[in-house]
Amino acid sequence: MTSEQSETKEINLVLPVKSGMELIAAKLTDKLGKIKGFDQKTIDEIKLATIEACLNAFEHGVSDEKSIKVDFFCSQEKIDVTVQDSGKGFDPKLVASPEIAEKFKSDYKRGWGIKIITELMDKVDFASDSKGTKVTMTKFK
Amino acid sequence: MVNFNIYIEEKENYVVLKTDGYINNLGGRAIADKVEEYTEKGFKHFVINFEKSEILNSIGACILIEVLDGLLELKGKLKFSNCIAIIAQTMEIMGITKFVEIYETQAMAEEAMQADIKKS
Repeated sequence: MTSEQSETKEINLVLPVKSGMELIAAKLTDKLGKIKGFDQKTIDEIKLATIEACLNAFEHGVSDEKSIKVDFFCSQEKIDVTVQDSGKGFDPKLVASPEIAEKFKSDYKRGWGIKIITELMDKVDFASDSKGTKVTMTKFK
Repeated sequence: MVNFNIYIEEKENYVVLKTDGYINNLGGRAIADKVEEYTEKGFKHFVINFEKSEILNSIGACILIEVLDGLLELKGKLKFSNCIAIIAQTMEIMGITKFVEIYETQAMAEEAMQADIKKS
């Protein structure tokens, strides 16, 4: 194991709310996952969960700040990614799990982000109030 | 700006779309527009080859659901090929795989498409 692999890393990003910016967080996830020796399948799962969390923050976390925070905490055993916005917040318990059969009948086909995140990651926690939402996602090696 | 391209192979009874790049809202919309262009020409069966796409986000996938919805109304067929694991996994999570078969290669998807068209 190299010293780069064994040390715990913390990286903080501030992303402008702009289409495509989520790919910067995804590229960083890829790089960190490789440094820490995660397999590509696991890295891809963390990447997509990070993208989805960023997209949710871009869409629902609109505030005067026009930016979101993405923090990575990486160790040899796990990667934690937190995505934080300054929006109005929401109650995750009130978000219905989408079903494709219902989406066919509906004009609104969106609403899959939380389902994808929770399926891809090992642990997901939402902390939300009127000042914003923080999603903490954990993936173990 | 995120680059996205679609390459088209027009066959006798169906059309193959080969995506290249990130499938987000713009990539998804580009696919939907291309499918609409060819349905207006009378095609209703499509194969989408994702070999050169590494990421499909939920917004792009929702547009694929919209495409699927439209083709089901036309009694058309849609088949996917060359999906990397995370794209196939995303489609599985969203339930898209209940309605669209994913093949390892474009040739396999085309063979299945030709067999389906022959049967119908």
